[in-house]
Amino acid sequence: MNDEKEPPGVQQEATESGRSLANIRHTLRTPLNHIIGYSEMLLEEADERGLESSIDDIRKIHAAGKRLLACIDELLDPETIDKASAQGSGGATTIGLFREADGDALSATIGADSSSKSGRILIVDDGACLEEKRLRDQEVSYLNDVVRVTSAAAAIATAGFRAEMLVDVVKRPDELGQLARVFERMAGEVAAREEQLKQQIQVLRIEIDQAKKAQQVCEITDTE
Amino acid sequence: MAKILLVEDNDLNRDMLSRRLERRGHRVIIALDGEQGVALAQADRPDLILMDMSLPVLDGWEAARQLKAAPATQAIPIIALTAHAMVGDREKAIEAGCDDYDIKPVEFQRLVDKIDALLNKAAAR
Repeated sequence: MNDEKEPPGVQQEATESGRSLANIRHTLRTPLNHIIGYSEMLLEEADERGLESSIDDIRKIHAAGKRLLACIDELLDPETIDKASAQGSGGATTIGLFREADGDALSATIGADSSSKSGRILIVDDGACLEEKRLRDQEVSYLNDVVRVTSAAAAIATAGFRAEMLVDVVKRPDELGQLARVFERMAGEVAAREEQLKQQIQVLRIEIDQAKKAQQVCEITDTE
Repeated sequence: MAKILLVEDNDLNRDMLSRRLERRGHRVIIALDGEQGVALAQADRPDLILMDMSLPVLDGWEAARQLKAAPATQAIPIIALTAHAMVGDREKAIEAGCDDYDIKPVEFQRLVDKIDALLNKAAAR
């Protein structure tokens, strides 16, 4: 624990960050207050008058307002803001908005970035981070497949190619997949040609053997 | 039913809350800022005050302090209303003399329960 007191300017910056977030929260909540409040009032009236057709629609407005309010409360939770301000100690207060798989629910984490001296508020949408990670994973997968194709090409040259070397790469819909399919076809053609040559050599050997035998028979007959 | 002083500068909040309270049978009188709120409370002696804290001219905390300092109005229960909901806001409101605290957007039934509880407490004195 560091018991040293922060310089007054630093404390002020952290407090100002918290206050700015509280103001954002206030600005967002005020019109929501109207949406929720008026829809509740309309619901009461519709209920009293038995306006069943309106009740469902008003409930939808009310539910949407409540949902939005829950998001704001979660993102700009005052306790978290206060903690972040206290921990911020002159660093930037960073709010990360994490979008869940369905894209609807949002949650927030607020922390202090001690590397920053500015005390400014950074709002980071983690949707962008997830996209970046997805692209990085794609890039790594592409490079691995490039390595598989070049290894397969070398194996074709040394007659060590095996079909399983390109089993996943040939499924790719892109140019690399197309290249892998060409390599696979080439390897198949080379193997078929080798087989064909072997058979031709076999046939030639048989013919040579038969010719030799015929010659030997002739020589024996001539001698006798 | 009760006479309630609503001190609120936002016209939509004022309209909505006053109409809902009137539907419950309360009589609502309106002030647009803290200074008007203090003046109306002294002149009309409401049964209860709903006080927004972020008010122009005189803010809700100062208005509550003045009302609780004056013998004529100190017994009137005050419910503080704020949309800020910063940690410590509740304590600040209680310190200023407010009897209870609620956050906006108001959950109307919760607010009505608080109003009823304070009115019953005041009636029992």
